[in-house]
Order: sequence, then C-alpha cells, then structure tokens
Amino acid sequence: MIKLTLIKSLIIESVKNETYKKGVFDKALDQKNTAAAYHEQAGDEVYQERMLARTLYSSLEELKTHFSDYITASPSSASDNIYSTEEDDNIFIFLEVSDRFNAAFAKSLAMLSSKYIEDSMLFLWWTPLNEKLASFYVQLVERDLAAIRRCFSKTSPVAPVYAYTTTLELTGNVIEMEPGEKHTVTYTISDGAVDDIQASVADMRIAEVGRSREGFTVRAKQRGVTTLTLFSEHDDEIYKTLELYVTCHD
Amino acid sequence: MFTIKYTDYVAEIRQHLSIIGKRAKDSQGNNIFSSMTLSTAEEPIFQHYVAQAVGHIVALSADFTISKSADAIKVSHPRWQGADEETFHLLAHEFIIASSVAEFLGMSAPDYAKKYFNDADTLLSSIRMLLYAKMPSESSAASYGDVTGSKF
Repeated sequence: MIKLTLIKSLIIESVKNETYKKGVFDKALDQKNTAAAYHEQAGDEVYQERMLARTLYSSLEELKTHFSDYITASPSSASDNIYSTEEDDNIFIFLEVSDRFNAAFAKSLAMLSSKYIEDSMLFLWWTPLNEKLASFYVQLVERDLAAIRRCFSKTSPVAPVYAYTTTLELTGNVIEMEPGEKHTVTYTISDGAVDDIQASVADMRIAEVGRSREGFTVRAKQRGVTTLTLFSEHDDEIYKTLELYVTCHD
Repeated sequence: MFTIKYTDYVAEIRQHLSIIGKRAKDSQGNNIFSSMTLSTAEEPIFQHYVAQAVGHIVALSADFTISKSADAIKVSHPRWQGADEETFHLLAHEFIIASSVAEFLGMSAPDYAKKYFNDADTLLSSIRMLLYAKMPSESSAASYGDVTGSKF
C-alpha cells in the first residue's frame, strides 16, 4: 500500500498564479485587455472559486481512474484497493500496489499527482477561453501521465526467505526399549518457524524411525545400543542426539 | 462609500467653466465668457451630467452598489479598501468633473471640449484598470515539502 499526501491550497495557488501570469502578460501587451485579463485570472469571484473546486475534485477522481492501470488486488479481497480521504487542507490517496513498487518513487508520484491535477484544472479553465492554451495543457497532462506510469517500474524480485527453526529442544537424552516396542520422541522448535526437523538412527538393524503426528516414532527391532539423531535439514548446527538402548528384561 | 454631492460638483464645474471662459475667444476674437458660464436656471442640467458620469463608472462593473437621493449619489464597491478606495475617489471625482465640463463644452465650444473628453477617457480607463486589477493568489501555509508519498 502506498499513501500520497496532496495539499489543496498549493494546487489552487498554483492554478491561480498560472492564470494570473497570463492575465498580467495580456494586460502588459495592451491595456485595452484590462477587463479581459481580469476575467481570465482565476479567483476572487465566488463563481470562479466554485469552478476551481469543481475541477479540482473532478481531476482528482480522474487521476484515480488512471491509477486503476497500476493497482493490484488487496490481500484482503473485502477492502478497497484505491481510495482517497480528506482532512483539513490535505488530500490522502491510498493505492494497493505490487510489493515490488519502488518506494523511492512514492514522493515522485505524490508530486506528479499534484501536478496532474493542476494541469488538468488549467486545461479545463482555458477550454472555453483560449483553445490554443487549453491544448498546451492537454500536452502537459499527457506528459504527467507518462511520468506517473514510469513511477510504477518494479524493483527486482526478492529471493524468498523461509523462517526455518534456529532451536531444537528434546526432553531427556536416553531411551530404553525392548524389541518390538514403539516410543514417540517429541521436540520443540522456534515459535512460528518452518519445521524442517528430520531423524535418523545410526544402526538401523537395532531400530528404525518414522514420522508420526506427535513427532517421530522409534521402533526397536533387536537388542543393541545405537543413537537417534534429530537434525535440521537446513542448518548443520542444529541437532540433538539421544542414546537408544534396546534390551530384554526377561 | 463614495458620496457625490450635486452642489459641490456643480460649484466646481462652474469654476472650471469660469477659468476657460475668461480666456476663450470666438473666431472673431471676442471673449465668450458669458456663454461659458452657468446661470442658476442651467444648474439642473449639470446635475444630469454628473449623474450621467456616475452612470459611466457604475456600468463598468456589476458589483457596484449605487443609491440616489435628491442631493447626492452614493456608490461603493465590495472589493475596494484602503488605497484602492482612495485612488478610486480621486479618479472618480476628476472623471465626473471632466465628463460634465466636456458635455457642456461639446455644445457651446467644441474646440475646448476636446481636452476634457480626452481627460475623461483617460480617467475612465484608469478607473477600469483599478477595477479590473487582481492580485496573485495568497501563498499557501503549506510547502511542497508537505507533498509526500510513502509505502507501507
């Protein structure tokens, strides 16, 4: 999941200043443009402020639909994989993305999202007033979207890491049995670890060992002394050895 | 609020016409003072010129509010405060005088009217520039450092 924080007042300020600059320039070219320049400079008038609010939110929602090309399914299918919230002057956008999303681009994505909304608002502002300028902002919007797309380049896959046990504990260190008898050996490993413990008997003429639900089951075959070793398949340092005595009491 | 009192303006217009009339001559070189000055009977027409000049100003913006009484016209604009309002009062005052004098001279001494029509045009243009002046946006309290992205 990534979280983008955009600032509404910065977006509005940028749009107003861009249009202000154009108006100042037009007025400087010819003072007869005074009234026209005033009306092309966004802001101050209540109706213009409301137009800016409309285009800000419509551009935000449009941006979210563009993100749909890049978002992934949520780990929990019940939750939304894209949503936005608002608090005071902040707009937060949450996106479920691939684990391989390059976090270094998160800030870039926030800045580009802010710029996309600004350029889209400017496109909508100029559309009824100045077709040439509106088409210029369309080009900027397309450029923003291309840069946004590049933010979703993935990092290299990371080799999976399995949490094999780092500990192995047994109770007791000697087993005494009679031929034909069975004995269950239980053990404990690290909490939450993958169980990769195996067991082997040194002299298989005396006893044999196999898996059981509780751990390992040793079956004595004939009299003798041998050892039973429990060991990790992935770490030579993790093992325990039991002495195994198979005797007849009669 | 800008108050335009008819008697004050008519008095000032009389002064202007008196100054012009003392120096103005017709094509035969005769002084035309008597035809340039106002009689009491003519004063109501100058109230009409003053009201017409105020109308030219108010027509520049739908945001003006205007109230008329028997002896004065009051105008105000919601966007103006402080220096803007003072400048407007100055420009509007000069425009009303120039426009009214020009209207009168246009009938009685067209050659002398030209200067006042030009003055009136320039003053109205300045009022328009004052009226249609927008400031840049207020600066946001936030900075672009506050625009952030994080992965979690």
